[in-house]
Amino acid sequence: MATRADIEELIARTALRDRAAFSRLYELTSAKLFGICLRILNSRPEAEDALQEVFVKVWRNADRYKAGGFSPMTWLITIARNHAIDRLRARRAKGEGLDKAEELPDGAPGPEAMAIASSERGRLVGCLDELPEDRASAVRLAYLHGETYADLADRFGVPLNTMRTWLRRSLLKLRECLER
Amino acid sequence: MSIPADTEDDRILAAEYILGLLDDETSRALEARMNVEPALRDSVAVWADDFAVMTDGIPEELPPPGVFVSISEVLFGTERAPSLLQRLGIVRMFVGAVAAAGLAFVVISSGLLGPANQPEFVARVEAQDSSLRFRAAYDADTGSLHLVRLAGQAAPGRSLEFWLIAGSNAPVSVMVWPTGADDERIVLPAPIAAGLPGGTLAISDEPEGGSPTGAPTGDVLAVGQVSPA
Repeated sequence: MATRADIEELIARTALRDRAAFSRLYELTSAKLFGICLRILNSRPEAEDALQEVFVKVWRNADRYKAGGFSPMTWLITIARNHAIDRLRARRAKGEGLDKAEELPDGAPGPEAMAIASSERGRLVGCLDELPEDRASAVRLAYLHGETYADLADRFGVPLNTMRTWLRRSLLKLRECLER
Repeated sequence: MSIPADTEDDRILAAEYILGLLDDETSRALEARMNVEPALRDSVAVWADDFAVMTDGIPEELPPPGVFVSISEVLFGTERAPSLLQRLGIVRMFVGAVAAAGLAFVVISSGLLGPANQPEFVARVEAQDSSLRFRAAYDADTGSLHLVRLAGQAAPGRSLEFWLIAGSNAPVSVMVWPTGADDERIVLPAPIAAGLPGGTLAISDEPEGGSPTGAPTGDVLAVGQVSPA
């Protein structure tokens, strides 16, 4: 089982152009990142393209990892999530609209997410639960579906500025809860 | 006057940034501040960690083995590449690679992990009478070449093909312009990108679908010197 320190070292060695380290990093993390691309894009061929581009970025930007202050898995997850969301938004901009999988907000996290959340990782799930349900759902839709303020305002049938105010207040509450 | 390091507003901005809710201009401004304000940078990193938990419930999935092969080809090229290029023409290799592995089109990447990407090399590829004009920008960070059509198009039943000429080397095909497109991004394989500094981009008139030989066969319609941005 790879530890945080292992992943961190592999990223550092990748920054030094160590191909073996890069290959090992791919072995250890590609299934996780591919899962994320697949969930966001809901298309295997597109997720494969996205994963390829994600690792090209990882190779080319590994020297910038340190500067961001992210934990190593978060850094990789964020690159994959952002890239998949960029692709999804470009697809939407081409007029495909929100596809079926996106029409319903994510409900409660699955049992797996609950187990992980309750064991070691962040209190995010618990803190999201403290928010009114529609606001927690808006946070999830933004992160996992790349919905913009305009998308969310449409979905919840409120003016754009109301949506923005709403969500900004919720984010502050979330931060307070996370630091409690 | 010193700016408070961790105001409420900044905490919210940091979250909106990670969620991708900010417009480009606000994102870039925030990134510029992150470079000089460690507290803001930390706030962004903490949100990134917290939100990443939302991916915990997503099942892992093994990617097919071809993906890593494609990544290696993009980043490191392959030893066989030159002869393959000569034999088949890089256009075909490109088209084949796109079909097989989805090599080419990279969609806009938000610069969420550092300052917004600026192109390292640019070129204006223009016909002498300006009837055909393209703008090109290469971003070394993502390895992508962004081409924008400003004027002109292929003659009916013909295609425009982009070539890169590095020094005294033979022209290497960059891409066949999709008829009707205005804006394209492609990831350049490393061996091709290496020819950009000081190189020349040219557009030739070719049979539909691009040169059948791997070298320009028709008139050169437009040229442009590649220069540092």
